[in-house]
Amino acid sequence: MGMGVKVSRAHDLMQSAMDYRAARQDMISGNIANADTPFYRPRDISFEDTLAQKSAQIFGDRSQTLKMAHTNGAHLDGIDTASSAPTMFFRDGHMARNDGNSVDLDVESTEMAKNSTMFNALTAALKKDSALFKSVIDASSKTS
Amino acid sequence: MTNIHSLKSLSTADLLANKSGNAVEGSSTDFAQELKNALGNVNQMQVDGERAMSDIATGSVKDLHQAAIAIDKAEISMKLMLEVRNKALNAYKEITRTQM
Amino acid sequence: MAFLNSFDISGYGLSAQRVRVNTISANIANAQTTRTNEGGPYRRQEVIFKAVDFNKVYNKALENETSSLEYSDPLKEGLAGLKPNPAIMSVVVDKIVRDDQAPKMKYDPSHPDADAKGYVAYPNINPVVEMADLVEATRSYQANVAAFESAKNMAGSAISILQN
Repeated sequence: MGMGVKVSRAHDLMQSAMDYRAARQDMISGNIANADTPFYRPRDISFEDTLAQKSAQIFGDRSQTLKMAHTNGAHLDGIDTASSAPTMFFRDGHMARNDGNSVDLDVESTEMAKNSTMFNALTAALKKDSALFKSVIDASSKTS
Repeated sequence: MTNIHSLKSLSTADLLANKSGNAVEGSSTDFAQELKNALGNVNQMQVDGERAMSDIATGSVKDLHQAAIAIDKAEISMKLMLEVRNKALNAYKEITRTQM
Repeated sequence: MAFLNSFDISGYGLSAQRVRVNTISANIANAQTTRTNEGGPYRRQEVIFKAVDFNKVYNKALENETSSLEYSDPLKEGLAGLKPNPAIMSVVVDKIVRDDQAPKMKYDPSHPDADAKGYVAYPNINPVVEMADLVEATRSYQANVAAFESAKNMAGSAISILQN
């Protein structure tokens, strides 16, 4: 759009979070669908750390990162590594059954409920965010 | 001893003068101060609301309802401030329209 | 329309579980069948599932954007180093196999299907085992339905951003 209008600082963060949560929902659906497939292991994606790093950058919050100790005057700060990518992993806490499958339907259902609740919370927060700015626009149009 | 007496008389006179002076100046600085405080509050609520939204995004929110209330507060305080601003602007326009 | 793919993942799961339920029901129904078209008693059937890569483009994009943790293989199954790619998989019925165990022989010379020695071959089906499988298949089916509802709920929530 080129206008450079930022809705709010948390808007991009919420958008990324919604993308990840949608991908995670598909992964959990795939795990449930494959609950009886031999040698299938449940997959999951962890993006909380990535988003926490992004949030620390946006809000300038150094408390999220550990500072390196300086015991000598010549010591430098550590290199600020680029934000880490989200991690995909096997959520394999449950021992594999006879057919090599290790999907636990209860764990999958729980994770799915948590994920969809957070997704709905994100959409509601996004709506409030834009509603706030809409009210500002409305208010300024009322006064000529 | 003279010092104490002069101090004493000075102090009461000064007190009286200061008190009246403060009363007059106090009303004008109070309003401007009030406005600043109000704006600061609204701003603080916006910042808190943004924090809450970022917490929901990173999944590190402890209480979902706390975050929801913080975001709602931000919206309400902003709307209220906008209404107050509109009223103040309209009042100002009323005054400028007064025929002399 | 890629966003409707999340419904398809659960849809494939529902179809697969339904095939499984039908197979188990056929096993239970034919527990006493001593005569079939291909000769001999009814042979127990079982469904084998296979995981399929659902959306190759999307999975490739996911693989490129994220870092994958290798499998630590806690049970030493020789699967160490496996990476969770492709990430999003659905399920199809790979094959339906027939149980090749020896049938149960019962002595009943008056039965029309008795062999020369008077034994009748009955299918090697244990109704208790079949019922347990049926319960588990039904539970998997219901879990897939729940996943479908959840995906629909999320899509509805996303649409509500556009509404007031």
